[in-house]
Amino acid sequence: MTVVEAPAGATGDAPVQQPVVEVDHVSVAFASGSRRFRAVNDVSLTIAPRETLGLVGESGCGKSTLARAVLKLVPVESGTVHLLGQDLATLHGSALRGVRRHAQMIFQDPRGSLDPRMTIGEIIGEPLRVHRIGDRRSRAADVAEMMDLVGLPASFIDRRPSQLSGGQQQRVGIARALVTRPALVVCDEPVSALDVSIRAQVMNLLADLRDSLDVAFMFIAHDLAVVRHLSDRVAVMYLGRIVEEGPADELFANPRHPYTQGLVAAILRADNGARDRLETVQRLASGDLPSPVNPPKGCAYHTRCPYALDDPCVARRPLLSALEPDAATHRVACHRVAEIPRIDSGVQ
Amino acid sequence: MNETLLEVRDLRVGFRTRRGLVQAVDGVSYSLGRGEALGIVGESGSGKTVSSLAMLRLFGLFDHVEISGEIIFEGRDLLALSERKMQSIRGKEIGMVFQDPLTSLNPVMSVGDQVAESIVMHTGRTPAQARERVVELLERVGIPDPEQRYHDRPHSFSGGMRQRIMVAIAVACEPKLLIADEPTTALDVTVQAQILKLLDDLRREMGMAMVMITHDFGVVAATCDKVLVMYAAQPMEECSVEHLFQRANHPYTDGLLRLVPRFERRQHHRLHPIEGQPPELTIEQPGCVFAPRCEVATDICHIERPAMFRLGPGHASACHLADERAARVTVPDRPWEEIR
Repeated sequence: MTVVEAPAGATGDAPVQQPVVEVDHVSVAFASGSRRFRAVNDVSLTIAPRETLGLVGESGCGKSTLARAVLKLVPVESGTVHLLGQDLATLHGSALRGVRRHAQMIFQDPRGSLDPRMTIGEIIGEPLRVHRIGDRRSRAADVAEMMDLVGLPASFIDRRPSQLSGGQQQRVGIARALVTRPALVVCDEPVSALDVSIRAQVMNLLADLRDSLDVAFMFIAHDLAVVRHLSDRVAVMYLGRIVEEGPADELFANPRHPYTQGLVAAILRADNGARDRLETVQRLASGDLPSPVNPPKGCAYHTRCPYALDDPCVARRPLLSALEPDAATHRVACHRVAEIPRIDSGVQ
Repeated sequence: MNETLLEVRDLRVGFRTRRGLVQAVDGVSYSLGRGEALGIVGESGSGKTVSSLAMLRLFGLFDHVEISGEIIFEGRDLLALSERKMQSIRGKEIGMVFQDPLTSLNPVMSVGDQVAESIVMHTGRTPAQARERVVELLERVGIPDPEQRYHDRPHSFSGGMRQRIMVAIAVACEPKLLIADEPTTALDVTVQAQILKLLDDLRREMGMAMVMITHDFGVVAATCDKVLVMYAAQPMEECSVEHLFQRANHPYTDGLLRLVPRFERRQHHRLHPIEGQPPELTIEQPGCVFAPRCEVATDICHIERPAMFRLGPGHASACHLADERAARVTVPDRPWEEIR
């Protein structure tokens, strides 16, 4: 049995740190009835060590599918995913398990993702047993350390999930994801099922962990204010493709794709400018999301976009390209990006 | 415009359960002018939905419910009306939109017939006569090709379109009051903004008053004139939306406003959770219901339930610190703590 202790290729003194995740032209297809459709379509992105990438978009945009592809929980149709330098397609069995130790997941529904018959200590310690890390004594110490880290009282170790509140259950899910000291944690809507005051507690915990641990996060949420709060970099997805990507501050202060502009205007902020912003959303993101099973030709956003033209928008699909050739950090997939007026995002 | 349409006085709703009486609404009073929009804000279990269902008497027939107080709508106490009278008000004078359109719509009936139903029932028009009005309504709420889609069933529409159909049903008889209970919670963000815009536009066009039930101050900011904040079945604060973001008085309102990440802030900042849990509604506790979680609670807060103290026109707060006899205590300013 091979257990991957350190990522291959990460040793040595390479000047540039190897990305935790490299997604290269990945597509994921599902069958829907007799048809196949691409939930994720030709997506490329990387996540650097300790970086938090936020993935946003509305239902059917493929953000959860992309996250699952990164963990090899769904098969990719084409393209490659490298996790810590290893091509996931080439890994099977114990080798795959070895690399998975470095990539964990936090789920949306804390109750549904915890085995009701196991104790909290067993749940948090399970990844250590699965990956055969340490002995009984060291595992117990790791579990205790994780419980302390996520703010669970040590006395909870013998309780069962049903005896915990929703916020405490989510803390268990977080402790379980971190116990193997992964390089990457994928969080799929980790706070959207929680009540507002619990949500704030869990968001503060995630922010603390992001700042204090040597771990990269892939953070999926539909709530842009939540994503902005926790992310260093953000990718916006629409019908299976990334339409805009950039540093969180830059992208939210200066959204350039009409869809991102619509999303930013749609964030309901508790202030006195809210009514005007509804007008902006109506203008920039009119109508309904098309079905992901049969996305529009050309630029998939043209059916809702006020700036769409028959040529080029309907005719050709825009590529995700850097706004400025020398600064490749902010990328947009829009033919008309140079002509589209900026919006006042209200960001300081 | 300022004429009173609805006046709720000391509304109490309790449910008898095996664990004892659950007081779901405990002493709620407010008034609503014609064409005015009120947001009722609270966390789950705060009583915001129950207080509005009481207005429609949607659980008035069960004997395990205890309701007291008055709901004066256009001069009549809705709690004292016969069920027959109530039926002529529901859907005609008071419309409603619920959170989940899929469970509120009839899956085996065409959407056109569902919109026509209340028109036929309340105006005496025949279904054929109602048809023209239905197509007009479907068009108004933003259903493309309403003529062609009249006979389609709800499942063939997207979530956003279904909610538009719910809105068409709710406003079909041009009600004087529209109750919207978390109408956009289950929707995608751009669709949510569109539905809120639609409700706001329709309210102005038809001169409807609206009660918007939500947990989200952003929804209130976008659609309401004033707001009532509820906690553990009781009203905490009432004020205009204009004042809410600058001059919120009650520590609970203040706490709710500090819970959510502020999108416009460039730097990462720390959120301020409200510590503790809401109380069990079966246990009657002395004093202010929020006192056990309140950062500025004083001795009296644990002994005596505060009245709604008037702070100005349309602004009242159920906090002892708002009592003009109280010593001048200012809520400590807790500037956002930068963590990066």
